[in-house]
Amino acid sequence: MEKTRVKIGVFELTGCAGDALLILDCESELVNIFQAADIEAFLMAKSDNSHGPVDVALVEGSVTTEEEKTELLSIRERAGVVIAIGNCACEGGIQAALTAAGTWEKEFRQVYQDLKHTNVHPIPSQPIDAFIKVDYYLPGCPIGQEQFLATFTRLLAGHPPELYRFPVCLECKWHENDCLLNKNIPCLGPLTKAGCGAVCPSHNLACVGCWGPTEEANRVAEFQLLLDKGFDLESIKQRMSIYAGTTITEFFHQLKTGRR
Amino acid sequence: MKKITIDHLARVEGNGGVTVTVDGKVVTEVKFLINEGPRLVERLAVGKTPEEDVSITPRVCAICTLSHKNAVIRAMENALGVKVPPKVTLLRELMHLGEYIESHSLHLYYLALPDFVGFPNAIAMATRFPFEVKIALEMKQFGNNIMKVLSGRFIHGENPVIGGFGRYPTREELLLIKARAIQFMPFVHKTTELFCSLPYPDIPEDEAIFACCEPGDGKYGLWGDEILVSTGEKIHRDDYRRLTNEFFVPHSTAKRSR
Repeated sequence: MEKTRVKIGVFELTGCAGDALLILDCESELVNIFQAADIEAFLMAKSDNSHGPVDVALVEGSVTTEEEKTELLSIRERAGVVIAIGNCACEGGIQAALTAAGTWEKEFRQVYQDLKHTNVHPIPSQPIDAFIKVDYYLPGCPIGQEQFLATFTRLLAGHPPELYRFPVCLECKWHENDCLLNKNIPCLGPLTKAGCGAVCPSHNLACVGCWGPTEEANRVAEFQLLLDKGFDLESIKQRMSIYAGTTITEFFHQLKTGRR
Repeated sequence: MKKITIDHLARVEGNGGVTVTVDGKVVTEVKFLINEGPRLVERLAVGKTPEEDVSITPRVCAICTLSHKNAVIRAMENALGVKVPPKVTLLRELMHLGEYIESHSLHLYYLALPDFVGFPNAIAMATRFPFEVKIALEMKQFGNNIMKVLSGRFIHGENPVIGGFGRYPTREELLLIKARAIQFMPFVHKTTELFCSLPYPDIPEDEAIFACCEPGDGKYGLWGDEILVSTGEKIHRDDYRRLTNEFFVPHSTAKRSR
């Protein structure tokens, strides 16, 4: 008996479309990807998109409009497994930095003045798990080819994805790079999810943290280390915040209220 | 009065729709809606260090990530009075052209051609155009690899920095790019022939004005400080507001320009 093919949907909310594009950037595997599974919905790649059920929904982007919230709830209802792909879906993206109460409205007016949009109803950016249950998170800005293809293959075989649970530093050590922190360069490798192959430190550049915060990040220790090296508090805070989305906002809030 | 609505345009990058209002046989209004949520990147850039802005700004768009990278680095260098050696300029040109090759292979073969030949996507199109789809994928990969060598990865590479690059490509890497570029030339000519032979619909529209940067020395590219306009005008980049600027429309979260 022929095995039922896995139905996959790729959905895009607000972001740069880099995660969807990364899938199309798997040039050598693309034909196989389309032949191995039923790609039910992928707006960027095809025009015959279904609104029906899917086994796996890959969702890119953060939620920044009421309309996207409705769409996301509908995707959750139709999907067996939901995977957040990329920093915007997982963490809220760079745009999540402006979500504090009062801040967003002020900044919104700075960009759009008093414009009332007729097509959508904008709201402050949130990662998708602010609204729905997310089964797995595929981090990255954008996601990495290696991790995507491994995840895709495991899903086709009916297995859960095996995601990396270690920081960039480990991959950096595999490359036998010199530690940039030892050279007084403010690298965020210790705080950041691995999967990129430690690409920036391997190019003599500090990690900017774009894969989002790793689970067991010791931020207090990195803070202390950078303070000892002469960096000032605000600039460290700013550097740590850019790609760390709503997780870092919560962390700083907890620090302030003394709960850590 | 009839209204045609397309909520989601397929095979484009971004989230957009169209509404067309028709009165009898006359189209009275066409609205191009950009429904992408606002990210306020203009405001995110404020208060950051120049290096942080160089990292953030390309996140505006993945397809043209290195164009944004180029623009922000050049703007920062201009503001800070940083001069770079010709080697850096040449490598940046190459990086930008890599994006050009990748993006054009994507748009022509993946996004546009399926519509002209009646297929829902490029992979399905391979049943009728197996050679074109295969080589277009290889050409896209070639463009992507140039971007990876210069910027560190396919999308949002951090290797280009103010003043130059974190890591410079090796001679071998550059010679390989050159050899591959020469191999693709016959296919590039084939692509031009193919796209010139397509039946384009005759749509009455305003005469388009094209603009590009002039690299000088009779070269072709996207580099340079002078903006060359198809009206024959030439404008220095510092005076770009004489040519174009942003404005809002209520049915789009993306700003328009004119």
